Amino acid sequence: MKLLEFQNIKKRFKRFQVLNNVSFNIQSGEIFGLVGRSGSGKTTLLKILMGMSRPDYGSITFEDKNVLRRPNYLRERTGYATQENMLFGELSIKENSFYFGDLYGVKKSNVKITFDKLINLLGLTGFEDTYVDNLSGGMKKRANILVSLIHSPKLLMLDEPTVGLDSLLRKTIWDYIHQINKSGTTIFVTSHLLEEIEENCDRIAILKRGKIVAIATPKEYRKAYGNRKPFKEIFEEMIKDESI
Amino acid sequence: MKVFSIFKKDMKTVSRSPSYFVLLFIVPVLLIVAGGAMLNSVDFSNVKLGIVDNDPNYDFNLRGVHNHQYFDSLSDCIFDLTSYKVSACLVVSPIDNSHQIDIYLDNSKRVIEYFAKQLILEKVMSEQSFVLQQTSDEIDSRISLYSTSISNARVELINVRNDLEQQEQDLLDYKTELGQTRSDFDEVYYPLKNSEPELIELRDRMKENNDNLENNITLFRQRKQEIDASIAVLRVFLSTRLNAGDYNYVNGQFTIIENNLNDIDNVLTSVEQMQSDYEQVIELLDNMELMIQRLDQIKDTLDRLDSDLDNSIQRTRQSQVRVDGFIVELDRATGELSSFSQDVGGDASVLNFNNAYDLSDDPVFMVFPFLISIIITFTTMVLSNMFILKLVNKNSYLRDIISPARDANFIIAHYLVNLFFISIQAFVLFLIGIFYFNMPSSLVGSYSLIIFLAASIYIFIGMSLGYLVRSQSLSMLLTLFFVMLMFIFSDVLLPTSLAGPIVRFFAELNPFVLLNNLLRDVLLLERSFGFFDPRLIRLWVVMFVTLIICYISKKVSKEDVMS
Repeated sequence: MKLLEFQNIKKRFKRFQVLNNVSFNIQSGEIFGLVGRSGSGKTTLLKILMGMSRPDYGSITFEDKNVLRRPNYLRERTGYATQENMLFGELSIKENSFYFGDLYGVKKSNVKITFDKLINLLGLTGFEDTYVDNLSGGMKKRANILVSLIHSPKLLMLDEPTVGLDSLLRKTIWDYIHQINKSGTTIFVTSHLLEEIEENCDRIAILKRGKIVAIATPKEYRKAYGNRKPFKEIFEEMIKDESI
Repeated sequence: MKVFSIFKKDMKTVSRSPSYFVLLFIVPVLLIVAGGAMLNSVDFSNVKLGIVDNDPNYDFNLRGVHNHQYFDSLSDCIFDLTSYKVSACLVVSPIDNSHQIDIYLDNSKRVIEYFAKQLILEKVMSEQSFVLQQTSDEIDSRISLYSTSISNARVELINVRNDLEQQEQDLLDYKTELGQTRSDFDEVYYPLKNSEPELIELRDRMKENNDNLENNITLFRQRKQEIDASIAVLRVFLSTRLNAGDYNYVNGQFTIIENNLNDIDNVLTSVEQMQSDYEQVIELLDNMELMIQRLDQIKDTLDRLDSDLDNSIQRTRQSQVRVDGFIVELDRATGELSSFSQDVGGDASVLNFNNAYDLSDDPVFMVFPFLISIIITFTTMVLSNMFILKLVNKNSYLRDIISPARDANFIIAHYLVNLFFISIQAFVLFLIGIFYFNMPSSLVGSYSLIIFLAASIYIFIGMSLGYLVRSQSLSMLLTLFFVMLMFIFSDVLLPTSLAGPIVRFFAELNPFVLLNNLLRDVLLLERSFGFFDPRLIRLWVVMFVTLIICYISKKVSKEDVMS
């Protein structure tokens, strides 16, 4: 079932066509990965999705509703965690959670239930009242994800969720993402760490010069290339291939 | 509820940031302490005067000015003035029986120069007011004398005018009588004058008839004599020719003729006697003609007299008008003299320098409202700007933006947080006023309203700058620039009452000026103000304008962050 659908999204900055007829959809319950080189248009696409930027053309539907006209409909139903920490450092994880829960119009009792669940899920038990500024890098990432989920969104968008973390922490984060996904939240993730994407995403879209050049499961990518190459090499080949 | 959540979150972030405490409490306290210490040490006897005394015999009064230094020349004194060793140079020079004191002030320090000049002017004016009073008394006495003379002249003129009126009345009476006489005269004159030609004709005819009669009588007597002679001749002749009887008969006839002739002669004599009467009548008629001529002359005289009387009445009236005009001129002169007397003489010329308000002599208390204004202006603008800058430069700002909460919620919450802290600061300042300067606590209502309005404006300006300019250094510089701008367009440098209409217009909208003036009214003069006080209305208007600017700035900031 389609949860989110981009249709013919176009965006131009002066002479540069950042997004050119981008169309794809995200199915409910999957982990969807979007990959592309720097400047391929990933961030622009996410900004358009969050209502931070308007496309020149095209539409985005969430649960069959045009969210370009009703940005708050999408905001209320999605969580967004960037690679930078988007929390207030002078507040604890709990204070941040309750604050943003209020902004999203969630009842305090519901916030408490969600918070208790997420604090366990993300392994932050015991750090509820610790100021975010005093948390380690990995904890901040998790706290950031926790707050993004405090209003129980249907879709969680993660922009480079493991950037700057060591491999062990990256794995831990991905474990948590899987647990969140299993709890019913659809995940839309962008990352330049292609191994992680290959390993953790159900489907992967490749964005090249503002165009979606391929959408497939990791298995389908490997099958197309004879199971010989890892996704990273497939991606590189596709990027270099001028015919695509 | 979202506003409350944002407010609560902001309160926590601010209260956990030590920099806000420095700005909110330590800076104002330091400013008050520093200002108080500076103002408490103010003493005019600290001013050191340089004196160049060009008259060694002159004992220059330096009582009360214990801090002074003598110089040999003005240039030496000016040199020390330039190096701030003395504050003013006084050059004493002898002139005739008096002395001239030239004062040299450091006009590079305009404010000090202004106050020093004002002080000196006050002293000089009080001296001059005494001289002015004496001069005024003298002028008053002269004016009084002139006024009396004019008053006497006026009385005389009024008498003359009355005489002229009486004269006019006499002339009018005379004219009436003359008119009556003339009327009587005309009754006689005109019938007579009309009959003059007939009288002359009658006289001439009578004269002619008389002459004819006289000639006829003369001719008759000649004829009678001739007849008598003829008769005598005939007698003689007939006596010889006729018999006696015939003769006697003829003689008798002759006698009868002679007798008839004599009778006729007698008749003629009677006629001659009548002719005498006739001549008398003619003479009378002549006299009547002469009389008519005289009457003509009288008539001319009467006509002239009547005209002269009219002229005299006219001239009398003209004289009256001239006298009236002169009286009016005298009245005006009297009025002007009286006005002049009031202007230069009497109480109007007495100069007294008085204080409009009964205020404390404590210099710190005098500048206390000004200090509060500066502290509130500076800290509120900087605090609100810092607050927003900290917010917009955090990644968490993005999360705020993408949340479904409205911009207005954030603006209201941020505003309330800033207002809360400024209120605490303002309350602390008010407590200082109560305990240190014995300010009545009943002023808290007016004080709070003024602080609320001014602080709101400053918060919105600071927030707007924070939203629009995210660079911390540039934004803070702009905030300080606005603070300085408000200070410049105020009484800090020079009184705004001296400024032109455009500058004054901006000064009148300047929240710092409004805050300072209203605080001065409330705290120093303990004067209440109406809800529709123009200054309050201006504050409300500026507050709403800055609120709108803040809202637009937030929108612009959001677009900027998103792009």
